[in-house]
Amino acid sequence: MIEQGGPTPVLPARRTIFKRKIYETKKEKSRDFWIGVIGWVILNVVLWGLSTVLYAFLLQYAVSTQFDPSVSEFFAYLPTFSSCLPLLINILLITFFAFTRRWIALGALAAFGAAFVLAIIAGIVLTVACFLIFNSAGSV
Amino acid sequence: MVPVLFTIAGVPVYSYGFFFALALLSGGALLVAEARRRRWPKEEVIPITLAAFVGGMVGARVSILFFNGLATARESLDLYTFFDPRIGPGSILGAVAGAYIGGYIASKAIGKDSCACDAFAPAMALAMGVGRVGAFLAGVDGLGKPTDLPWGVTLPGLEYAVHPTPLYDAAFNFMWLAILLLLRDHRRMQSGNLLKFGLLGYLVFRFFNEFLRTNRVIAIGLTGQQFFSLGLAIGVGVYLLRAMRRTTESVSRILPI
Repeated sequence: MIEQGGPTPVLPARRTIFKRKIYETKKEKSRDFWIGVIGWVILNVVLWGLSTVLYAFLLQYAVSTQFDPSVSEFFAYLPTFSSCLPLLINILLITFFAFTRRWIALGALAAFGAAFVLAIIAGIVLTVACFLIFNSAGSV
Repeated sequence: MVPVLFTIAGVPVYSYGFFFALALLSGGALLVAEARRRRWPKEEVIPITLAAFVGGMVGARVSILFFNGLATARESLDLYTFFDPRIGPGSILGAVAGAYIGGYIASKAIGKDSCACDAFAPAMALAMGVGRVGAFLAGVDGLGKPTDLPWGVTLPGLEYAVHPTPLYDAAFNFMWLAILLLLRDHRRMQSGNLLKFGLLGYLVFRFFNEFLRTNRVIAIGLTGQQFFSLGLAIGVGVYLLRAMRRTTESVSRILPI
C-alpha cells in the first residue's frame, strides 16, 4: 500500500505578490471559515441583483438598436456576456483568498458546494435530462 | 427507456437525476475509502475535494458554450442558472477538466509540491459509470447513431435502433475502474500519475465513442467533444510521460532498480 499521508512535502517559501495569513489558533480558522460562508452568500445575493439589473438594461439597449446599422453587432451579445461577471468575480475572489486567507476560500467553497448539492438533491425529482433545453442536439 | 424510476406520493423520481446523485455519492464514498487507505490527511482531502467538486460543476456548464455554441451562452455563463436543477449538469468532459483545475489550484494553495490526488482516479471512473446508466435510462443525451447490431435500442418515436452509447461509456468506466484499482499501488502510478492515467484512458475512449454519438460536428467531421478530448489527451499524455520519468528517477535514486 502506498501511503500519501505523513509529513506533507511543502513548496519552499517563495516571494509572492500575496501575503499569506498564518493561522495560529483554531478560533482564527473558524472565524475566517464563517466569513467565507456568509460572505459568499451576501456577495452572491448582491451580484445576482446587480447582474439582473445590468442584464435587463443591456438587453433593452440591444433590442432598441438591433436594426440600427451604425451600432456594432457586438452589443447584441453584450447582455449575455455581462451575465458571466458574477462567475468571474466568484472564481477570482476564491482563488485570491486561497493564496492569502485560505479559510475564507474554504468557507466560500463550502457554501458554493452546498448550493450545488442542494441543486443535485432537488434534481432527483426535477432533472429529467442533461442540459434539458438543448438535449435534442445532445450535449454531454 | 425508463425516464421515471418510480414515484413517491405522486412525485416522480427521474432516472437521470437519481443516478447523477448516486454517481456523486458512490464516487464520494470510494474517494473517502481510498483517501483513508492512502492515509491522505483530511486537511488536504477536504479543500482539494471541495475545489474539485465546485470546479467540476462549473466546468461542466462552461464547456457547453464550446460544444453547443453561442446559443447556449446564457445557460453556460450565468452562475445563477447553474443552480437550476431543471436544466441538468452539463458536460462530463468539462467537469473533468474543471475538477482537475480546481483540485490543482487547491493543491498549490495548500503548498503541496507533489500531487496526492490519485485517490480521485478510481472514484471518477465509478461516478462516471454510474452516471451513464442514468443517461441511458433517461433515453436522452443523443443516445447514438443508427445500428443493426443486436444490442441496438429503439427510442420512443424512432423506427430504427441506435447505439446505446451511454452504456458503452458505463461499461468502459467499470472496466477502467477495475484496471485503476489493480494499478493503484504500482510505484510508477503515484504522485498524481494514476489520476493522469485514468483521465487519459477516458479521453481516448471518449474520442472514439463520439463517432457513434450524435453530437454537433464542428469541423473536419469531428465534434466539439472530440476536439476537447484530443486536446486534453495530448496535454495530459505529455504531462504523464514527464511525471512518470521523474517518478522513476526519484525511485531509482532511493531503491536501485
